[in-house]
Amino acid sequence: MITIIGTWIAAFFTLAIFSFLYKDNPFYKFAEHLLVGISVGYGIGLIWHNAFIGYVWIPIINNHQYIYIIPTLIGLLYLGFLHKKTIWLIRIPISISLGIGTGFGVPLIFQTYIFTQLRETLTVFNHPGMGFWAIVSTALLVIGVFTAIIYFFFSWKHKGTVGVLAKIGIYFLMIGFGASFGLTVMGRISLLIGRFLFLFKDWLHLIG
Amino acid sequence: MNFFKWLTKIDRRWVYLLMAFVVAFPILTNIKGTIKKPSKSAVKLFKYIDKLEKDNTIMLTFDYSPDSLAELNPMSKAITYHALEKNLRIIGLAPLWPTGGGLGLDVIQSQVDRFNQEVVLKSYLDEIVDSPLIKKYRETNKISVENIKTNITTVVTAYYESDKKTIEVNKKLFDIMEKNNLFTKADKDKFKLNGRDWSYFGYKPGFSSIMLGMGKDIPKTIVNDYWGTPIIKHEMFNSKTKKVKSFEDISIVIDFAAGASVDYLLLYVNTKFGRPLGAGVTAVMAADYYPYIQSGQLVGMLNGMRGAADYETLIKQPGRGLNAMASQTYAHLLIILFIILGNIGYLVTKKGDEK
Amino acid sequence: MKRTIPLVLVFTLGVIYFFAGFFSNSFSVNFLQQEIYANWLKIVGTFAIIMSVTSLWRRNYIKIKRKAPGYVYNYIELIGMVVMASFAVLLPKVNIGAGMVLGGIEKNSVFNWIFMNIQVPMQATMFSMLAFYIASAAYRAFRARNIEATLLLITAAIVMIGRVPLGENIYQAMSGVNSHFLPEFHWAGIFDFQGITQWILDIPNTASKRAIVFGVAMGGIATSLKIVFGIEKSWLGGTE
Repeated sequence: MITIIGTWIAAFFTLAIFSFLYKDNPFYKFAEHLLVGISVGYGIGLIWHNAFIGYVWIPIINNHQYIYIIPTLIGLLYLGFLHKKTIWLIRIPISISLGIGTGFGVPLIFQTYIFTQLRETLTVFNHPGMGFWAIVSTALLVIGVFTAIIYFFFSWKHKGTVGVLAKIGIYFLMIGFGASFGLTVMGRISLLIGRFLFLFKDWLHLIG
Repeated sequence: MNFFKWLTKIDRRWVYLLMAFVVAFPILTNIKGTIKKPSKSAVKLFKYIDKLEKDNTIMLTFDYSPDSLAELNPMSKAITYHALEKNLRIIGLAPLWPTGGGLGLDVIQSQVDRFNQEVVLKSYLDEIVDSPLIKKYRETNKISVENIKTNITTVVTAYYESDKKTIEVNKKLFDIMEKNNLFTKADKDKFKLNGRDWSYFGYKPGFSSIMLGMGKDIPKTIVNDYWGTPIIKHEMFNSKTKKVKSFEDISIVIDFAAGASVDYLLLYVNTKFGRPLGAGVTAVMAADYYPYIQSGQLVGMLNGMRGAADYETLIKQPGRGLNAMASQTYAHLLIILFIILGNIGYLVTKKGDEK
Repeated sequence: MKRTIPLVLVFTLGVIYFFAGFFSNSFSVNFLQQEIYANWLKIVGTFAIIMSVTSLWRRNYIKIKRKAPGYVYNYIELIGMVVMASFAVLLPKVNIGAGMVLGGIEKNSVFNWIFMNIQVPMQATMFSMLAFYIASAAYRAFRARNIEATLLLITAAIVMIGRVPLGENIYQAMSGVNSHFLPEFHWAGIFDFQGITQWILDIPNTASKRAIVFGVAMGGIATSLKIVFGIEKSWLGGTE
């Protein structure tokens, strides 16, 4: 019974949001505001049970690891956000997270996005037994990477050889954007199909 | 030319209606899409998971919100089901968005329940559902056969997991089953139990901290599971012979992502700790991750709804991914038709203007 | 002081942690990485929710106080938040019948029921409307004005066909015709939309996205360094 009521309520809110396609209306506004409210409420609930209990309560209260009072106090500085005069206090926890995160992240970014990616571009031919078509494709991959990078070099004037290479680069970029665009269309439609499957299958049971 | 001018001035709501019709038609007429040749990146991920051995552990991270549920739920369910079939242990968590916490719970729990009911307990349920006492209970409370099977699965699960709250909620059914020794007939070893075969942590904020911590000590970093129980109490994390301590004990991390979480996981899981990483992403962002498949930083990837359909085909368990393929085809054709019409109109109008 | 302390903290911690990853001694691994970064920082981050709760509360409170147009909806936002949080945190986990419990976040809790039956369908529907907008844009905005745009649109069309079963079906049909007509020349290959799509994704797409990855990574590193060295200060917010 409770499942059926749930499905009907879900259907009501689905249709309330869809009603915006016709024009803005009170049902849509109601749903939109309710969504914002319960999203934050949901965040509070999960943070309380999944994070606060495990990160703060169990270590300090149950396990007596009082050292964790220090990060708790630093975290509580976010309460400074409540008043104009104390709002600057939130810069402390932000600066700590930012400093540690960026400092530690830089070498990892180098390794992941630059070194590994560059190595895999330069060693692509290093596979024995490549056929003719594989060699052509691989060559295109390498040419594509370097010409597209040349296109992004705005400190060089895009004239002569550089101009030609940058032009090839932009063609590669356009094919890349085209692929992204085609997949974007696909993704958006998938979301609509998801809602229709809910309405026709889970709610109205029009199909098995 | 008038036709094209008319086309550009048409009320957009007619276009919406046409789109709605094109998507709804295959669903209402039950036209199903089939896939003969699954995508390469999906096959790679499937093969990797398929070759893992019993009791290997996979970690699923749910970094999406309901916005992209339509694309990511079918694929995460398919991978979870595959892992259950292969007797792999599953760990789930949502390190980026709170909503991922609820969605991940739904994905894992629904598949575990489904597997327990449809595979592990199948013959047991068929047998006891017609036993006189259960039949009487079912008829008195007007419960359908399908629902009673689900309820019995819930009660058996609660019994094995010593979950007092769930037992209390289903007290009547529990008492009938206990008094008549019906539990003994179920197969506990094959049953998928929380804490032994799967564990769900829920939403764990502090993405990079969590990832760094799990590289060394998962129980210390995560502390408690979704329901508040310290995970160190679970067999999965305290077993003498096959406990999960850190990423070292995780065979693969698979991220279901609608944002930049794959990029962060590449930094920590793959680069920092050298563990294999797979991904299931929305189609919108999928094209950006092909460089990582080529470089081997990603073991494989499921790309949008098609990725889900690919995986469902590979594990021979049709679901919402395959269900969507017919509508997807029709809608793509409509969009392509719109683009062609729009461009013909553009060329015709441009020539008209030049004259 | 209000700006100096945070800037000094970012600089000091940024420099320390830049080098921390290169060392495998106990101080770096157990203290800097595991204790401070993993165990402390996750606690600090947990409290960031205070900001989103406060902003939501403040924004709605101001509108209600001013009786701004449609302020009734602001009540709904606040009620939604309070009710949802109360079910999870304040109310007891008691059995309320129909297999449901009042408090807590379990699968059969009211909290999870609201999430699955109200929040999930609304949020999912909100984004599904983009399918309609993209259809409308398809014939109004996607114009092949030059070679680049044409290339983009053709690629998009190939990908759209190649990623759905239609691509496979066309190829299969054409292969059938091919076997009767000029079988020695495999011309049906030009209709292999799925294969072509895969090739597009694997080769030109990978090439272009990799070039972008280099650019984004360089940009990310530059911004990180600017933050650590106090050149980029926008994160401080405000001028005080």
